[in-house]
Amino acid sequence: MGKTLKELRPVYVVGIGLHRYQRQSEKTYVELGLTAIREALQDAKLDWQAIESSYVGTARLGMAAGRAMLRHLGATGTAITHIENASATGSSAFRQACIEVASGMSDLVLAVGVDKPDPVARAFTKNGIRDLASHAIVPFTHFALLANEYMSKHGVTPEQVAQVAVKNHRNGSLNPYAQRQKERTLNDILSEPPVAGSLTRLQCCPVGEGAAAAIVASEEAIKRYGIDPNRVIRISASVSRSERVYEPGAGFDAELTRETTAIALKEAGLTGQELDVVEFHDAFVIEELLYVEALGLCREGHAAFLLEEGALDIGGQCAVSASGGLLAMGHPIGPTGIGQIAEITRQLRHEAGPRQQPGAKKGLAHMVGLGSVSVVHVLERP
Amino acid sequence: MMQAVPSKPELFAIKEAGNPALKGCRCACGHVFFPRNEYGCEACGNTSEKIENIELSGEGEIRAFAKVHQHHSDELKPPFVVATIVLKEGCAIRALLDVRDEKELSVGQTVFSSLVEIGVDEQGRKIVDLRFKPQR
Ligand SMILES: [Zn+2]
Repeated sequence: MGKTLKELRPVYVVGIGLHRYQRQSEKTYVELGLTAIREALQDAKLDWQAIESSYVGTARLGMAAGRAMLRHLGATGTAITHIENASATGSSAFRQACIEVASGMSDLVLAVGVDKPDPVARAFTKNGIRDLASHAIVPFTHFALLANEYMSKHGVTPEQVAQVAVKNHRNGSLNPYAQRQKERTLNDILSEPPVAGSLTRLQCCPVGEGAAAAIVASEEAIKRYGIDPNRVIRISASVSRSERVYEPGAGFDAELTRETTAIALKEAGLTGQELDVVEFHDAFVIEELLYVEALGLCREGHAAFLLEEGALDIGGQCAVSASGGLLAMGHPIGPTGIGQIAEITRQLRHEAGPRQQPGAKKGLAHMVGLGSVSVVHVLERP
Repeated sequence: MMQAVPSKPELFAIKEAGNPALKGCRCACGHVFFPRNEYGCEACGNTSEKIENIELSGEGEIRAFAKVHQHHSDELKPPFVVATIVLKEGCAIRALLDVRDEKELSVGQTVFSSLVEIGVDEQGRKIVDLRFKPQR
């Protein structure tokens, strides 16, 4: 049997930084990435020279993005590794950084996610297997089908599902790094032209550009560099899984999420009920409801009611997507998973300002990626 | 339909009588899947000599459906209706539906494979594609 992250030496997030997520612009990915990294270094009060190894998460830039960006911080000759794991790219870059520190091979490691929209063909479509309708079912249509199934199974209305977008846009309006920073009413959301099934544009995440960085450290590095011990956040679980064969027609996104979050909570020694903040892969509204249930925050079919009661709001039982989530903060792909870590770190440090979940001590970050894969981290205020 | 040519012959077969069959596989482990592949079984890893080609009946139950209003492709213009269908043989697929109005659909409804003409080849034969619809 291998070891869990918690059984290895402790790892902490010590620095976070972002470049705002936004629509595609003239800015190069280098500028986006450097902005996030410099902010993370400043946050940790560290010099670049202290970083021993870097994981660069990108899904759409193509080969060899890392050194062309990192050299502008001063070429220190340290290790650079690129990570691609679809929507979970940033989460996986962060996971590898944690593992490198936990293993004892490095004391201070950077994970950075950066992407710009670019139509790089998905290897996923190059498997040589044609299907009846794969050309007809893009992600928003896949999730429109899941929404239809959920609503018909549980007697939930399109209005109730769309409330996820109301909450997450409200949270996003408080987040200076969010792509969408405008509050939206239920009427705003429902009155837009339909995209697929019951989904309208604002019930689907914007995919733009941006960058996010996190620096992780061992206790030795925290002491050696005099990092403020009151601002470090422990990573108590890191779990990565991929889809198995489920019952015919079962929603694989939710099944995979159920497995991955359950393992992560077990490794951290927590239950879902103990979480104060959660960031989900809420690329489409229905996902939040499915994953709230998969995580065990309520029984199946009840998430829309939990949402209605305000239990998932900032100030509720568990703030879900306090950042605005993928729906409002945005989903530039490579950065997204690390952006979640930045949000949870900020929340657990009690530095989230108007988005602060009162007294937040424990958080969970979840992504699923095309394929499907899922990556989950649990973070705790020491 | 005697002269018709399937648009994706590796996926479905036109039958003399009855609705078209879907070309699937059954692994020695019992796993039934569609479409066919020669790479290996997703459930157990068996290679192709342990996997039998079978024809799936083309009858199933709607698990979910959605009308698509926006779709960026030259191949397929919206609106169209797609569904997740669990076939009688116990394998879930996704397909386009041949319905005028999605309001005639419901979750749990039985649907059958059928053919629609999508063009004509160089020899003047109809090219047909697979859809599902509530009537046999
Ligand atoms: Zn098998």
